[in-house]
Amino acid sequence: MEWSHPIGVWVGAIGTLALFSLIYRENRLYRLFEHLFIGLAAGYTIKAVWTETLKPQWWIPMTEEGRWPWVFALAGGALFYTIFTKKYNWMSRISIGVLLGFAAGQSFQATANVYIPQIRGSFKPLWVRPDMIPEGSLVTPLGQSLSNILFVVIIVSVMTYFFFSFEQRNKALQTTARTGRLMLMFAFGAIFGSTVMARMALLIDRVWFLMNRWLGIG
Amino acid sequence: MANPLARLDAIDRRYLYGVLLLIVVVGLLVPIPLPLAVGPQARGFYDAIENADPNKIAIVSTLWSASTQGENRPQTSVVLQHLMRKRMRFALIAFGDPQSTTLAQELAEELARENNYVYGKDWINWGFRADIAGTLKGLVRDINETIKRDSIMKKPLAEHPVMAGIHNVKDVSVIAEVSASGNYVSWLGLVVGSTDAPFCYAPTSVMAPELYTYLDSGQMKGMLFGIKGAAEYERLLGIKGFTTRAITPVSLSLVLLFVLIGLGNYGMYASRKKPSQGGTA
Repeated sequence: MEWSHPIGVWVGAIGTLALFSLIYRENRLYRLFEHLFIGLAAGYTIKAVWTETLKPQWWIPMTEEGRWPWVFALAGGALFYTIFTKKYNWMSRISIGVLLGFAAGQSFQATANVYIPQIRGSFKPLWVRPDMIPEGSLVTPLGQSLSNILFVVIIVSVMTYFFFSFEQRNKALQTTARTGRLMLMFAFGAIFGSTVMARMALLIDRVWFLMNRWLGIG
Repeated sequence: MANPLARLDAIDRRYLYGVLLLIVVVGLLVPIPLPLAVGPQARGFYDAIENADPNKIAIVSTLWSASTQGENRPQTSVVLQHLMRKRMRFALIAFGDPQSTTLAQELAEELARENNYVYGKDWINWGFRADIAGTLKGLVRDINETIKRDSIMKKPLAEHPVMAGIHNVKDVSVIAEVSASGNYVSWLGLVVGSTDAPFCYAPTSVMAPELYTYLDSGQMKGMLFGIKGAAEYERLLGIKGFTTRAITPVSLSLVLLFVLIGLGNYGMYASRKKPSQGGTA
């Protein structure tokens, strides 16, 4: 092992091993490093919000570039804190109302842009002719037709499952909803598999760090 | 006598972690050449950068921290390597977690040294922004006015040669987001409709399954499915980096999981069966 390794690598290795010690059992070393990690991340965020956002976006324009009206942003932000006083907490609603208005307008635009193309994308031809297949594609018209039919069956059955407004007594409706629930289970299975893969990737990254960067193996 | 197989569903988890660790270490040290097919999602991402207009600037948006760097760092790395190979200008921007801008900057500097990329001339860091929606709406209108100064040299954006001719998102060639969060909704909702630039997404594996609808609708041109997506991209670039090595232990650990689920279920089944009573049925 080389003792010339940077201190950062050693701190990282000790921190990783301390956090992994939870696998054996709950212990004080794990708690210490867990608190250290959370504290560092929180402190880093506060510092970064000032250096990366508030200072270049608000402080410098206001104090060095003559854009003095930015001072009103401080007053507007300070109004949020009146929520802690019984006498003046009504004033916080001014700032909250303005922000809600901005957020509502943005959400309206964003919702339309995000979901309308998806609704449009769900309108698929159930019978695909050869001239509808892009040039060079390996998919056959029959294969694409089956894929589209499956897509429509799944989307209709899953949406039927979410009809909670009335009791589903009709046999056809019940079968469709049950199919929808089954399809959802397939999706949850895929999400579970992906989640496991993600967690494995994080473990592998840390193990590789310990092996390669710290111990110099591999 | 109790069935010993009935204890399979009660194995001490520490033994399981031990086996998992062993598999990961062996998998990293002895890479097995497992087949890895490049999916259309990774291909779409690759093609979007390959066909991007070289006269415009690419945006690489990051929203990840040390906690998900096992997946997001290799994803960011392959995207930046592709942009540098194409000699395309690019800008880094970070949202959500301020660690993101530091980690992406560190990675970009490392790759820039290898590819002779000069900060300010070939690439730039627009820094971290706490307000996603406000910043994205600003980029649509006026990038220089919205970002104001770069994150490293703290100089006005317009003074950097890399920003020559870049005014708003219409001057953007491709948008690549590497994220551990659902930031894609903001990009799709507030930016994508305002520009011809293709939007590509590199999420963690946890998020990836829910994004296929966006690929299907054409809102996303490509996607890197976690570490597997990064490995596919490495294959497309013809390089053998960390993910090419890591894909062996990923596959082996998933096989281990299948085996353990099977054993656990069998153990549960065996423990529920009543022991036979002296030959009577």
